[in-house]
Amino acid sequence: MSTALHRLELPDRTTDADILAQVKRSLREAEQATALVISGSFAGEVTDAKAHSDMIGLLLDAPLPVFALPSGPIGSRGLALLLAADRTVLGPEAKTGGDWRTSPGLAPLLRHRLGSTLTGAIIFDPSADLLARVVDYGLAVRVSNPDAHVEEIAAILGDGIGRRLKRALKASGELPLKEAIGFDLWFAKPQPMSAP
Amino acid sequence: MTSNEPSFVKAERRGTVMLLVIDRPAARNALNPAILTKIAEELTAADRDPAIHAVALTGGPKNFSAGADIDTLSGHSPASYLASPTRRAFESIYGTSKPIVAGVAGFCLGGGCELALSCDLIVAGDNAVFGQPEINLGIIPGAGGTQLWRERTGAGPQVEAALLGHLVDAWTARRMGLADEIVPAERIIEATLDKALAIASKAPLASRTAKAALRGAGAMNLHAALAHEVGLMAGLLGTEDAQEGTRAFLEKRRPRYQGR
Repeated sequence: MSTALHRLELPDRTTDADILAQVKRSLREAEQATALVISGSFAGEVTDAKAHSDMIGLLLDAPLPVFALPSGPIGSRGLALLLAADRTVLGPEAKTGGDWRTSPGLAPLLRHRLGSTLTGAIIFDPSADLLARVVDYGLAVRVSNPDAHVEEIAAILGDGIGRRLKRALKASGELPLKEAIGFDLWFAKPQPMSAP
Repeated sequence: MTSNEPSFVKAERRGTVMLLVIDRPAARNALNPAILTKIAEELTAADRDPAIHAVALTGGPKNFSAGADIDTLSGHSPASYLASPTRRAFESIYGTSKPIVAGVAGFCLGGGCELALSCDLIVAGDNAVFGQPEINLGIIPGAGGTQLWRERTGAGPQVEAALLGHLVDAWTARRMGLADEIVPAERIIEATLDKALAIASKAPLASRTAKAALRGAGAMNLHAALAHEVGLMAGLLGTEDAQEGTRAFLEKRRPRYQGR
C-alpha cells in the first residue's frame, strides 16, 4: 500500500454542501492513501445543518486517519471538522473566530474525544481558549511547520497500519471492550491460504 | 432455472459445515430467482445430509446482497408473485432446520437483508449496511422484512426500517441486536465459517432441536413454546448423543457425537 497522503484543500467562501461533496469525493479518491489531510480555510459558519452533520458523520466513519491542518481563523464549521478529525495540527496562524461555544456539534464532539469531565472544564470555563485546551489535552498539536509534521506522522502509518489503527479505534468506540479487542485481533490472524 | 444458466452461488464443504457464497459481484450480489433457488436447494440438501451440521452463508467481503433484482419484482402480478420461485425459495430458506450463520459485509438491503435475517446468527463486516429500502419503490419488504427485525431489535428499528427505509451501519446493527459480531470485512468468510464450525462441533441433533425450540418463540405463545421445548428436550434424552455428552463430561474428555 502506498504511503501517500491524499490532500483536500478547502477554499475560502464555500458552502456546507460543497464541503460535504469535496469530503465525499476525497474519501473515494483516497482509497489507496495512508491518510486524508484536510487543510486550507476552516473559516465560515454553518448554514446547512444537514450537510454539516453528514460531513461530520463521513469524517467520523472514514476508514483511514484524517488529519486537519487549519490555517488562519477557524469558524463554527471548521471547528466541528477539526474535532471530527483524528488529529489536528495547528500552524502558528490558526485561531478561533467568534463565539466557539455556539458551534453546532461542539459539545458532543468534545465529549466524544475527551470525555465529559474535560469537556465541562472547557465549555464552562469563561476564560477557556479552546485551541490551547485541545492542545493541552492532546487532541491537537501546535507546530511551526504543519505539513512537515503530518509527513512525519504518515511515515509511521504506511503499509496499512494507519487504516488498521483507525478501524480498531472506531471499533473501540462502538463496541464493548472485549468485542473491540476481538475485532482488532482479526488483523493479527494469518490470512487463510485460499478463499472460495 | 435452466441447467446452463449460472447460479452465482458457490457451494463448498468445509468439514461438517456447508459454505455457500453468493458470487455475483457485477450486480452487488443482487438476488434473482436462480440464486435464491440454488440457495434453497443447497439448504434442503444440507438438511438431508447427516455429514453437514451447520451452514455458513455469505456474499464475501464486498457485499452480502444489494437486494432483489428490480426486474424480478416488477415482472410480477399479484397472483404470480404468490406462486413465484422467489417467494417459495425464501420460505424454504427460513424453514431450514439446521443452523445457518450469515456473514454480512457491505450492502445487505431489501431481499438481501431478509435473507440474512432468515439465518440464525449474523456476523457482520465493519462495512456492513443493513436496510429495507422497499418503501422507496412504492412496495414493502415482502419476505420477512416487516417481521424479522423485531425479534432482534424490538419494535422501533423494525418500524423505522419498514416505514422510512433507513439504513443501519454495522456498529448500530450490533448495538440494536441486528448483528451478533463485528469483524473486519475482509475476514468475513473466515469469521462466518468459524462461527458455523463452532456450532457444528456441538451435538448435531441438539443444535437442530435447539433451533426448532428457538423458532417456537415466533410461532406460538410462551406457554405453548415452553411446552414445545419440554417435548423437544424429552425427545433428545433418548439419543446416543445425549448419553455421549453426559459420559464425556463425567470422563473429562471431548465428546464424539454421531448424530444419533
